[in-house]
Amino acid sequence: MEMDKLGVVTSFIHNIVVYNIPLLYGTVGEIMVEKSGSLNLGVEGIMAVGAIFGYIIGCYTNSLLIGILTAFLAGALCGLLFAALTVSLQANQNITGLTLTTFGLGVYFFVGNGLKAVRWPAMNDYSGIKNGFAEFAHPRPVQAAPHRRGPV
Amino acid sequence: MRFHVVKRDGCPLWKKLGLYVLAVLAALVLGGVVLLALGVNPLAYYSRMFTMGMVGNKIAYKTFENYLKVFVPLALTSVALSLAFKMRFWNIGGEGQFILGAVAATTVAFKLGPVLPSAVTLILMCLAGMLAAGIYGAIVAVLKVKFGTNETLMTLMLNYVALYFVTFLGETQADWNFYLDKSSARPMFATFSQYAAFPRIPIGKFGLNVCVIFTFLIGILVFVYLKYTKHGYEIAVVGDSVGTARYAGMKVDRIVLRTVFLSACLIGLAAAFKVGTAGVLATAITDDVGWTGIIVAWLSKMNTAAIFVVSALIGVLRYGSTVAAATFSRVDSSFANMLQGVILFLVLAADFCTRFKVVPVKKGGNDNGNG
Repeated sequence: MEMDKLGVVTSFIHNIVVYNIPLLYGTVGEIMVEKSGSLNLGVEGIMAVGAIFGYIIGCYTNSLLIGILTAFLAGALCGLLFAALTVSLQANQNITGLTLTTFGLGVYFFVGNGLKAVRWPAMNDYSGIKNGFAEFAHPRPVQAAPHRRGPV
Repeated sequence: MRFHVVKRDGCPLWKKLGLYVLAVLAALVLGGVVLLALGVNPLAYYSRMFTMGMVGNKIAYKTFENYLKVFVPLALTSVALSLAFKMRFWNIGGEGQFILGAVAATTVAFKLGPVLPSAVTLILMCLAGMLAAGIYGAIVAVLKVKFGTNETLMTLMLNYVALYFVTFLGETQADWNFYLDKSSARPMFATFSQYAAFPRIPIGKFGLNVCVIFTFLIGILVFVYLKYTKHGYEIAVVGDSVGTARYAGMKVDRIVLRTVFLSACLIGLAAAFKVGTAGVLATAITDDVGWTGIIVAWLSKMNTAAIFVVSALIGVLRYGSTVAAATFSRVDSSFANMLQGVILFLVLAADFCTRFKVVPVKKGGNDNGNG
């Protein structure tokens, strides 16, 4: 069977973008922290906490927007915890960050497995978030503006 | 009214310990609130967790053996990490070093196990594990000494290299891959317990693994090394101030290399103990000791004796939560991770109270808090 080589390459490149967008967000967040002179090793934990609460609340409210806002809030609270400990209480950044990772992953699995034992909300059951971001209304591409003439 | 943070000098030990105990208790209360919300009686859960289900259990000795399997790698890794941390070298790479040590020890077991007597194989496994992990750690130390790279990020990233390496070994079915069980259709690590397994000293029904004895022995050695030898003194000076160490004529680069190598070596030994006891490699062989060890070393302030106490407690937390999860099906065993996190957050906060105090600013006074 002849494989569609171009198709494989295309979907590979496409998936690089799709799967690494979360990584990009994590990186941008960490860059902001590093610019302020701290090193936050708890990015993984923060992402886990944001993911689990964002998903669950998003499912229960059947709203993508509320899910995203919840994820923001949960992540921000973790960041606040990190800042309170390292800036206000002068705790060690490495240790606090790593603990945040342990803690965040603990919360993630605790909530996730706990809920799975009862009933895991499946994304497909909720009309509001079934299609994820695919159905997000985005503005139509703007028509090319008329070329500006004359000296700029 | 405004407040100032003032440095506190000399907090008495009983006050420090009291604050730490208070922090742990507060964490347990917070965990209890979560348990209550789930409709689980916190007291029942905690008593199950802290006794590890050993009370009124006929095979309690078995439980204790399993507990020691959790305790040994954790204690040894924490002791190893405390060496590097004392020098303010942030060795976050315990996971990676542990994995490579385990892979090296397993290689020796498979290749030399069939031809050599078991005792020799075990010794060679320990040496191979130490060497592999030691070199893996030393790479970062060399880069730091030569080019001034950030050791936190380097060790952190190398963890993932090692993790994906062992995952690759565990999932690649090929002729060269002697780590896998050839008779299994699905990729599965093969066991080597017929060639080499650490002997156990029988005490009644209970079998005391020799690794436990070695761990305590190494603990004592490291304590003496840090406290009473020239090397230990050098580590402390480099940790406090590199400039002072240079001024005193110490060869800082050499001290860093030596200590990091030693630290990683001991982690490799912990890994050899772990695989030598389990008799099989696994992708999750580390059981997160590389991360937990950092927390343990920090909680015990790099004090070797305290490390054994703290890692025993954290071991109870981790192993107890898996035991309790069997009874309380609604509480996942990751409750231990969460609790561990909360405990450390609160201990860090308590730490602040032992180092500083908050005083109100006097009205009109020019007390700027600096005494």
